[in-house]
Formats: sequence, structure tokens, C-alpha cells
Amino acid sequence: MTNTGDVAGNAVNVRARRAKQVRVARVAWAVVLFGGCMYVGARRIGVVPALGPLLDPANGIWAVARAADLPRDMSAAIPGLQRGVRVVYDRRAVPHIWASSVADAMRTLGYVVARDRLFQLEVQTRATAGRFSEWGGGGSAVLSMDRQQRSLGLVRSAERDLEQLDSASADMKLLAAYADGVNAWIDGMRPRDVPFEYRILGVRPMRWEPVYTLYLLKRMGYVLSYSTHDQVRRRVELLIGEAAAAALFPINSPIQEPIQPNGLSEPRFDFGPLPDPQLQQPDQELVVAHRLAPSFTVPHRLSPSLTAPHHPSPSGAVGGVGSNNWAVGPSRSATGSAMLAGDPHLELTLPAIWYEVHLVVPGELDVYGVTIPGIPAVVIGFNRDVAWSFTNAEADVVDYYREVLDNDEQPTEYHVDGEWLPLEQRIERYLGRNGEVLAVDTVYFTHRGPLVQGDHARLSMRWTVLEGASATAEFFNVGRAASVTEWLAATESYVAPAQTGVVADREGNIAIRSTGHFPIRAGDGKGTTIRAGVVSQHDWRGFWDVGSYPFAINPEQGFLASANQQPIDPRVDARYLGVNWIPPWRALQINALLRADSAVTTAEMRLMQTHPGSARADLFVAAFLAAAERVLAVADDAGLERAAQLLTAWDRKYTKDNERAILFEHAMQELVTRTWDELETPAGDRVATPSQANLLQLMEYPESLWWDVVATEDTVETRDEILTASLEAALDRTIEELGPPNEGGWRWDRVRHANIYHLLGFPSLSALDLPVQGGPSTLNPLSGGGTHGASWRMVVELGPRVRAWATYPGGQSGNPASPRYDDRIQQWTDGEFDEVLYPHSEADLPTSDVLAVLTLQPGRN
Amino acid sequence: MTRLTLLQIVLLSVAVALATTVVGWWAVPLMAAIWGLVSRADERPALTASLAAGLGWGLLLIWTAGAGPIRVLASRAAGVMGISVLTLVALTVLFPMALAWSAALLGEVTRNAVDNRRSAR
Repeated sequence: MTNTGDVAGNAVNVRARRAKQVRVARVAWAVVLFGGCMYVGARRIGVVPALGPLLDPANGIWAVARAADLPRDMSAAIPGLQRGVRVVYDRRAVPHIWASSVADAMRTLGYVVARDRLFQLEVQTRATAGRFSEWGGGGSAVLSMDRQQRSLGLVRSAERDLEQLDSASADMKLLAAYADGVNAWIDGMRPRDVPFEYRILGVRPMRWEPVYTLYLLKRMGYVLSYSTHDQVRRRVELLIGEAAAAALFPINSPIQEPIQPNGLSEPRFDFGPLPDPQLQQPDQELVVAHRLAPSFTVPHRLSPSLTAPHHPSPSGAVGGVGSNNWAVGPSRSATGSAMLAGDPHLELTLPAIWYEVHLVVPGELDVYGVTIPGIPAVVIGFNRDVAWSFTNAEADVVDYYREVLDNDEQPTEYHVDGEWLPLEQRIERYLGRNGEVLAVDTVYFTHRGPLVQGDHARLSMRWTVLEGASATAEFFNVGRAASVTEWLAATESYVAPAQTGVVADREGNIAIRSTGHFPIRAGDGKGTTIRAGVVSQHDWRGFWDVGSYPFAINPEQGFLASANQQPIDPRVDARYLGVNWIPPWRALQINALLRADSAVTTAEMRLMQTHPGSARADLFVAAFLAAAERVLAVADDAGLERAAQLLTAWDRKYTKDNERAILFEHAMQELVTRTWDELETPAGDRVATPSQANLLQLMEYPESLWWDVVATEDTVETRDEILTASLEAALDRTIEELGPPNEGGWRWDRVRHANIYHLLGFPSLSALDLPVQGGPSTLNPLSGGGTHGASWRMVVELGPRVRAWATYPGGQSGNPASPRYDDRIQQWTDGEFDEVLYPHSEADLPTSDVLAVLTLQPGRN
Repeated sequence: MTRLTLLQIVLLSVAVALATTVVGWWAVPLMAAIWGLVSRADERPALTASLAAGLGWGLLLIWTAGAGPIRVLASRAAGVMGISVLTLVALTVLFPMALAWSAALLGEVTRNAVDNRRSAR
């Protein structure tokens, strides 16, 4: 037997042991928990940022909310500022900057833009420089995007442009002052001011260099003028023969409604017969070519604008995107004053591409409009005398040359005129988040430009964007023009990307000009083929004289307009300017509306920018219905009859509540697929799609072999069979996808939306599924994904008092917590505008219109 | 929980909030560890520090809510992170609590170890 004392002692020992075990376990748990918390608090794990700085409510992501509103009174010091500057933010959060010198105005512009759009500034810079991999995340897709971007040589070109700038030049002073302003904001940022996105990415903002403005200008060139058309055209030739390829991707638009008026009071349809396809057995070259074709795949969570150019294929604009501008002279204006409208169409992003601003330097500058963050100037806008806007000229400014190299893998020389010339080499290192080298590339340059991989050979690329000087001075100087003549003179030296600028002044003058370097090519002067690089005779011979640019001033018709169409009627000037022009549907619409109105008002012009009518629909619906009538006259077809009845009931407008537009759009998709089957590879991919102007041209030839479906070997289809089959198939598809007609499922606003993605693609920071009025080829077109559209809408009346109305899809602030982040989107989707405030002085702004005041003083360096 | 403990929690939470504002999130483990080391009168320094840290950051959240559109921010930030707003708020309070509890406990253990060594001498 054990005695009582032993039992008690054992119990104590057990309890002590247990207590010790609990203590040890508690300590062990504390160690593990502490270590874990510190680890996730201090370190980024995959895409999850370090939680400590992120969740910190005083300095982390929550603090962004405290910087969302503009304080009523703010003050700051900017190093280099010569004198004090007042910035008054009006009720639309537009900063009105009153400075005593141009340099101070630009410093302040840099400061206020950085305050509102710092992350956007950096994203644009990294997109051009191919430096996203330094942020980490995204894996090989981001690295691949960086590599593709650097292979274009944009950074090298920007650096060269900067080197060529005299430090005392006006350009350089603008760039430096702007950089000072941006950096003053970065240096003075409080923790709460660090933009939201940096916290999510777990990175710090980088300082701004003057060369970054040039990066941005190169990026504009990339988005608006980069093209691989020559290479794609070669693939088309391999499928259908050279003659057919030339006809389907023509140098001259078959519908002529040129920018430079040709004296006609209506469009001209040059509808000649198309040569039959010369179908060829797809050879290995095509198979390989199509496999190697640039995919422009958008990497994870990055906005397409950061990766893809405006024209990823030679099929015209991206899903029907395009810009409009027009000016109306006194003879056609209700008030007797010149009026101007402009709505450049670009990718829609949050924050928006544009930033609205008013810059005043008494006696020197009083310009209002929109700048692109990073550019020290108002790009589109007006002053007290002149208003202007741009559309993309769509000119062919890129050519490719097949080069002969001494070594395909590691070339050092290329062959020209019997001599071996050295290749310039540029080593590109791609760094990771922690500075580690992820990859190293060598980019080679001939005297023409960078070497890129073609379908079967290394091609050198010559591109005006890589040869252009800074456009900063041009953009700045147009803001100082006091007349149309001065405005035109200020843009003469502009190089790239070529733009069609429309301008009007208070004297009632209106003018339009496509401006930029248009290459003069050797031989036939065309830029549609890949040329042999072994002879220098194939090089460009120079550029068009400014005097021969597409141009018109004060035309008899009383108005001028552009919508990315072919600028000059080839019967007026047959020189090669480009190829495969965007169909002039919007130009037809604008011109028809203006021709029909002899007393245009600004209210009408605002409505025009979202006009639901479509010249394309007018022309194609008639073709569908005529075909249906002919077929139904000889045979019963209940499905076709129903489809035709439904289409007949369409008013050919893309209003939000329209219930027939979708049937037409499906019919057009079916028609395109059935008609251009000759352009498909054996794998079923279409190499390229001809413009719908060519499709309309083909309507004139009902027996053309293009209507024949290649897959049906025993029958030869005709136009009417394809049109009616397309219409019937469209009805079946529409019912299958959206239900029966007249039950609400076909409403346009249920099937077509604008989608404005944040630059990083996060849905919660984006504005998605926005119903809008307008459709493909209307004046308010949207791309198929709804990601491209009118990025800025402006109407200006140049009367005794300049008045303007404007809006854009977004808001002035880049802070997602701010009410100014997306406050204009509803207005934009509704097609409405604000009348902008354009005060002569600070005192002109009533207190009720003042949101905040920022006072800047000179600071120490 | 005694009045003294409550007072300690409130004062410590204010200190945590202030320190976080000045030096950032590192203030939480630092202050909690110090609390664990020096608070001999507190029987449960880890619990006190944990509650104070949660309260401190909660106070900062409330202050932020009064100074800006925190609901919009929470909604957008939670969306980016793929979590609910409630989870984001809970994470913001629970993270400093866990950090402070473990840091204070380690501080307390260290203090006890030092005390034991001294008493053993």
C-alpha cells in the first residue's frame, strides 16, 4: 500500500509537470504566433503584400481615405519655383493654375498632376520602358510583355531625343520644370498620400525624370501608329494571291468622304469588281507565320492599353473604335461664331487617360483643356482665341525590311549595298523585385531601326515614332496660338504620331490638317510590302512637305470634319499615305448631319457626339432586306421572313432601349464569317478581316466567287444566299442567347456595355457593365469588349465669350476612395456635359464654385 | 477585469495608436513586448496588450472614418484582396491583437526568466 503522503506528493508533481507543460506550450505557441505575425507583417508572400504596413490604420491602406478629399486650403513649397502660385480647384475639381512664368506653371502642373495621378504616371512610364517585372508578380507573362516592349526601341529613341535637346531649349525647360513639380509632390508626400495601388503592390513611387515625358510621347506613338500590317498582308497573299490581297486591303477606300473636302456634296462609292481569290494550298510559310503572329495577349491584371497598340491587326480599328472632330464656320453656325467639337477615342481606363486643367500665365498663356499625365502641356483644348482637337491620322508610318545578317543567332553585321555594316547592340536587363536579373536580351539596330523577328526572317523596322523629336514644344505652343494661322504654324514641326488636327478661331476661321512625318518611299512609293534590306535604294527618301499635307481652311461647305478616314481623295492626290483605311461610316454620319443643318448649335453638336444613328446600318440593312425580298419572292422560308420582319422594324439606331440592333450586329458577324472564309487557315483562324467598306463593295457583285463557301465543294453560293443565311442564323443565335424578341432580352443596354477597367484590371476599382447609347460605327462607338470609346468629349463655341462643354469617363482623382475618382462616369454614359468654368481671374470664380485652394511657395532645393 | 486593468488597457491603446501613427505598425510588437517586460502589476500582460492593440487600431480606424470616405475605400480594397469588407476590418483588428499577445507573452516570459535567474542566485 502507498501512504497518503506519497499520493499527495505524486499529485503535486503531476500538477507541476502539467503546469510546466502548459507554460511551455503557451510559450511555444507565442513564439510561433509572433514569428508568423512578424513574417506576414513584414514580408510579401506571393501577391499578398506585407500585412503590417498594409493594414496599419494610420499609415497603411486605410489612410488613403484621409487623402480622398481635397482640403479647402492647402499650401506647399516647390523647390525651384520662382514666385508664389495660386491653384484654385473648381467644383469639378479642375485646377486653375495662376503662375507668373511658364516654368512655374509647368512646375505646378507637374505637382497637381502627381497629387492626383501619381500611380498612373509611373504605370505609363513602366509600360513604355518595359519595367513591370521590377514590381514582381505576373510571372512570365509580364516579363514577356517587358521584352516585347523593349524590342521596339522606344526607350532608346526617347533617350536620343533627350540627348539632342539643348539644355537651354524651351523643350528642355518645360520637361525639367514639370519633373521638378512631380518630384516636389513625391518628396513632400505624407504616408496617407501614397496612392492605393503602391500599397497593394507593396512598392514605393519612383522619382520622375524629364525623359519620362518623352517615354510617354513614344507610348502615344506606339498606341496610335504601330503596325505589323506589312507582315499580316504577306500572310494574306499566301492564302489568296497578291492581286486579291491588294483588293481586299486597298490603298484607297472604296467609299470616298475625305477629310480634305473634294468638292462633292455627297460621298462617292468607288465600287469596282474585286479580283477572285486565287486560293492556294497553305504552305509551311503561312502555317509558321500564323503561329508566330504577335498575340498581344494581355498579361494578368494589366490593362490592355499597357500592352496592345491601337491596331493589333490590319482589319481596321479595334472593334469599331475611332475618334471624331469637326468644326463649323460662321456660315453654318446658329450664332455666327465658329464652333468646334472633338472626342478622341482611346482605351477607357480608371484613372482616365486625360486630366482637365486651366493654365494661366498673364500675357503668355491662358489655356484650358486636357493634358495626359506626364505631358507639360494641354493636348486638346482651347484658349481665348482658338480651339482644337485631334483624331488619329491612321497613316502608314511603319515599314519593314528583310535583312541579311552575318549570323542569325548572334548577328554583328548586316548587308547593305555589298558592304557589311555593324549592328548597334543594346543590352536589355530585366530585373525582378529585389534587383535580381531575370533575363538579358540583346536588341539589335540597323540604320533603319530595331531588328524584330518576322515570320521567317529578321526584319528591321523603320518607324517615324522612333525618329521623332519631342513633341512637347508643339503641344505647348498650340496653347498660345491666337489664330488658326498661328496654330497651324505651331504644329508644322510636329513629327509623330501623325494626327489630324481641326482648329477654329474667334475670327470665324476653321481649318483641318493631317500633320506628322509621312514617309516618301522608293519605287512605287507604297508601304504595303516587306522590302529587301540589302539595298539602300529601298530606304525612305524623306518626308512630305508640310505644304502638301492633307489640308483645308474655310471651305465653301462651311464645315470640316475627320473621323480617321482616308484624308485625301485619290482623285485629288494619289500619293500613298496609308492602306486599309477605317471605313468612313462616322465621317458619313457627321457630314450628313452637318450638311443637313444650316444653323448648327452647340447643343446639337453635343448631341451629335452620342448620336445613335449609323451610316453602316443604313447601308447594310438595306442589303439584307433586299436579299430577303428577292429570296422570299421565289421560295417560302418562315425563318427568313420572320428575321426580315424584325429587321425591317429596326429604326437603325443604337439607343439603349433598342431591341433590334443586336439582330443586325449578329447578322453582320455571320456575314463576315461566311464571306471571308477564304482567309481562314486550315486551323480555322482568320488571318485578317477586310474592312466592311470592302464588304459593301462586294454587294455590288452578286455572283462574285468571294460569296462562295469554300467548304461546300459541290455548290457555288451567291450573295443573296449568304446574306439571307446570315440573317436567319443571326435570328436563331439571338433567340438562343437572349430569348424571344420583344421580351426585353434584346435591349441594347443589356447586351452592349462600356467597361472601364482600372489600370491594374481590378474589378472593384473599375466601372463595368455601363449601359451606353451607340454601337459599332456610330459616332459613339464602343469596341466589342466595351473597353475603348470616347475618352474626352468637348464642344467649344468661339463667340465674344468663349464657352465650352466637356466631360470624360472618369474623374480628376486617381484615388479610388475619392468621390472625384469616377464622378463623371454617369454623366458620360448619359451623354451629358458640364459647362466648364473658364475664368479670367481667380476673382471671376464665385466662392460657391471653389472646391479648394492650393498656395505654392518657392522652396529650398 | 478590474478598473485598474481597464484603465491600463485604455491608456495602452492610446499609446499604441499614437505610436503607430508616428512609427508605423512596428509600434505594436515593440510596445507589447515592453509591456510584457515591465508590467509586473498586471497578471495577464499578454491579454492586456492584445486588447489594447486591437482597441488602439480600432480607434485609428474610427478616426480615419471621420476623416474620409472609409466605406468606399473598404469596399474597393476588400474587392482587390478578394475578401469581404467585414473580413478586412476584422483582419485589421485581429492582426495587431495576435501580434501584441505573442509579443507581450514573450516579454513576460523573458521577464520571468530573468527574475528566476536572479532569485536563484
